[in-house]
Amino acid sequence: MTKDEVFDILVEYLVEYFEVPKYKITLDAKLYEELDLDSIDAVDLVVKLQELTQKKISPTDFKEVRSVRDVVEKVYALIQK
Amino acid sequence: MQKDVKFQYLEEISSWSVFTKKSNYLKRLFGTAVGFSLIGVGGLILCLTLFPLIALLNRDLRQRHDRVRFVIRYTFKAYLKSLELLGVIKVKTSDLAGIQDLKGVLIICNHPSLLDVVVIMAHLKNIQCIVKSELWKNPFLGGVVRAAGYIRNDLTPEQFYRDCVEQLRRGENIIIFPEGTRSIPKKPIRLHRSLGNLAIAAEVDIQALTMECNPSTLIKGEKWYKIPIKCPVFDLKAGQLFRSADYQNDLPRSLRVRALMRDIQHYYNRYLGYE
Repeated sequence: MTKDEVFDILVEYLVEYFEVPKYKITLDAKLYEELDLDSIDAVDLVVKLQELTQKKISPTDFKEVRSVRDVVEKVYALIQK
Repeated sequence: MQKDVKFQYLEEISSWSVFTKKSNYLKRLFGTAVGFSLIGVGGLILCLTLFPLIALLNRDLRQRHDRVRFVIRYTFKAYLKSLELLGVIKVKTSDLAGIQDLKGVLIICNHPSLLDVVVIMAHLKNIQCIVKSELWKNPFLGGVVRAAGYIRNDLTPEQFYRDCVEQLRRGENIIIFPEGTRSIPKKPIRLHRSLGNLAIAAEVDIQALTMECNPSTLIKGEKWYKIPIKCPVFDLKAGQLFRSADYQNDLPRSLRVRALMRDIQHYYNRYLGYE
């Protein structure tokens, strides 16, 4: 899976599960400030991403994640492992 | 000549009305100062007298908290009464009889003024509140919030959730101002989703209250001596009950919480005339 594909799937999740308007989602968009996610949403997102990658993502790992780019990088790195 | 007399008369009237307005203003300003001192001094006195006595006589922590909260409720009632007598505010309530028996629900309200929580806690039973950590260390009120066993807002999210659920299961109602801070006058309300997260996760209902404060007073960031031109009237009403069961369906949690919060936000903004 390429980074672009990871991004596309993430956009799909954000729109479908968190009602984020698609036009707001860019690589630099901040999850909490700009896309209006909260810490519990982040936990839900981690669960979805685990389904996608079939790998365990530790919540502490995800704490440093701030932007859409951070999520894409994290997921991409996991798939490459 | 006659005209002059008339004018003089009018001038007298107007200066008299300016005088009464001024003296009314000064009276309310004095009352406000007394009111602010009362809450600090009153809190301190209760902590030094009645609360230690209650603690001494009630070894059971739950019973102790209940009694302390009972005292707080009646203290707030007396406090509002004295503010009314000082001419600083007027308090009206309606439809509250129907919600006095509520148990284990989240009670929410819009937040026009600093006094909202006092008005609500004076008029409803079994109210638990979430208290800012700064207040916990306040020399005047710290003793009160500790003695009443209120919930702190600086716990870890997990501990905070556990504390809230424990209180709700016990039948306490938790008051939450879902805007997270006082309302901004003349602006539509925006709510925090943490209320919905808690309600959906704990599967508890939400009872809405509405508070009007006219003219506005003690809004966020306003100095205490900036009192309004007229005596403000507080009007507390019971509003809609939002049942969490209505939002327990097959949709993902995140969407159910958003739907619930959207409905509550619409409800308040319609009520306040913004929609």
